[in-house]
Amino acid sequence: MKFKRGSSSELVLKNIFVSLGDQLILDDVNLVVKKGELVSLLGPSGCGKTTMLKTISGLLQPDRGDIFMDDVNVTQETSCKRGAVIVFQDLRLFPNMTVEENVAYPLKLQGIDGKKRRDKVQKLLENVQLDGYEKRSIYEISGGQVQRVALARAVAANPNILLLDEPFSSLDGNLREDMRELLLNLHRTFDITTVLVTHDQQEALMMSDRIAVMGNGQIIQYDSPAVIYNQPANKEVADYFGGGNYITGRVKQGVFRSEQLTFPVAKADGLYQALFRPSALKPISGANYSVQYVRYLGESWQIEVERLGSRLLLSLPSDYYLKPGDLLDIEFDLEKVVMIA
Amino acid sequence: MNRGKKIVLKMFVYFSVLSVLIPIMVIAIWSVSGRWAWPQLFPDSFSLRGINELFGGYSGAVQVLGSSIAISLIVALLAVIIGVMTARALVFYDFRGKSLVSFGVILPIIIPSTVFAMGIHVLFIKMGLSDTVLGVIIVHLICSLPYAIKIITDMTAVIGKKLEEQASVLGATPGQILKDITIPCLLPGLISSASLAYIISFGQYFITLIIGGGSVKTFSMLMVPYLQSGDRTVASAYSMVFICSTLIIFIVLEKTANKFNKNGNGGFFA
Repeated sequence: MKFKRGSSSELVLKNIFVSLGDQLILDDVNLVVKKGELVSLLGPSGCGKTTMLKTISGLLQPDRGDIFMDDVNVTQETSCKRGAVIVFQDLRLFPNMTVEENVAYPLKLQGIDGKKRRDKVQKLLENVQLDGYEKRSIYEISGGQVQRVALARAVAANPNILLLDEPFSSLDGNLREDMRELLLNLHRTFDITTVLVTHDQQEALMMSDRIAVMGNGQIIQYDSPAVIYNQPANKEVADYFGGGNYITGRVKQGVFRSEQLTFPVAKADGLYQALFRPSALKPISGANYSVQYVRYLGESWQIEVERLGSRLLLSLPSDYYLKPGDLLDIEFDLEKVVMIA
Repeated sequence: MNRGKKIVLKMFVYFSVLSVLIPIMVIAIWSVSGRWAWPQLFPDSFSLRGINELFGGYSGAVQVLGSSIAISLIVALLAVIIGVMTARALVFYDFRGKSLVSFGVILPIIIPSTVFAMGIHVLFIKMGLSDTVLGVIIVHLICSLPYAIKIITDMTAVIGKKLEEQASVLGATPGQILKDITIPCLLPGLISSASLAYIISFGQYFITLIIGGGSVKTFSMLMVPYLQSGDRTVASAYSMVFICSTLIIFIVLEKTANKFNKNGNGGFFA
């Protein structure tokens, strides 16, 4: 079966190894993205996210492993035939073309001409709220508008897979919100299988059907946002979503025991770390803990308390009033505990 | 202070412009003067001798001008093509002896042309290229390639591969990428290189004489004897044609190029 570009497809990566120079960048990556799904690749910089996008699109050849789109092996297919379109972090609009021509370019490559092309460009520009900017040079539009053009151009290419490489990282807060909304709308409208690279956990949690957390060239955990947040596979993943207070202890016959607290838990015997996020701790009256510092974050206070050398981080609504030196006790919300083996 | 600066700047601009225009005006006047003895401010008499010499038919200057322009345009075109290919090899690929190659391409600037002309002449005689148009084109190329390669290499390095990658994932084949992205983006550099290669080739006298052996005539070869013999009227007439034809070629180059690049960032010559 010959592979055809032009419709949203399922993406499968099987045992992908990629090295650049002597360095192994992707180390046995396996990933399945279902048709029409929006998946985020989350991880620190340098963990191989961009390399993965380039490999999927065909700009880089894997040393080993196979890439399938809709069950067709496309590993040997050139990037221009694969239909995996990247929106790069630096957006890369063509400087020798106007806004309209940039969006029209992939259509021209598909052999769509004349009125049909014009209408399609018009429609795409409306989709990204840029009608009226057709004839502008790319130097005459703002940063946010450049992103919209890049998105519209990518959608115009009729991609099987849309790959987004931190496309919003250069925008300020409000504009980021708008662009996320716009992307979700586009995703809904065109139902394109999408892989979004980001290092912003909030963005990943709020936008994706599934999140793949990467580290050191491998996928550490791949699951829905709720599962990733509530049942992180290890400390690295948990840390990526804010971390919090780790209490080391041992589970024996259904009971977790540690210096600070003891509670029943349905886990197999062994050594565990109980993660309490800052919002899972509540102050109650008492004198076991002393407040170390208090930071005002607008919506909330960030407070650190200390007892016998062990420190805990709390996040409290801003109507609490505590100051360094105050004494209190801590209630652990056992509903919110995250057990990490 | 600011005002004073502006005046100085303006004076500098006027001075630069005048230092180009006045000599050209003097040449223009010389080309139609009969006798212009020192210390007269204006010529004693005017004459159409220079014009007749050029366009009168017996010197063949017009035909030589035509073939000379043709030779130089071919050199310019080849310089750009070879320049683009060399630049891409030097910027995008790693190969053994890369630094040697990048040094090698500027060697013709370092070694005096009189020196390598002798060597090449011997080689060309053996290969049957001496006294041929092809031979002349090749030596002109050797002289102009260093400039073309340097300009295009620097531009290629600045532009990089990013836009080509983008076009490729959008579905463009290598041919389409070259036509739609690479060449339009490099265009300002290509025009500069072509213009430089053209003027280097067009103004070449000594090398053309050696390699062409007198059977390949270029415009410079007709002009130089008049400059040397001190016939200022005819020499000036030739110079005027030299300057004007070159200017026209540059403007045509620029205009044609901009036709393919309508969003270009303004012209270089026109």
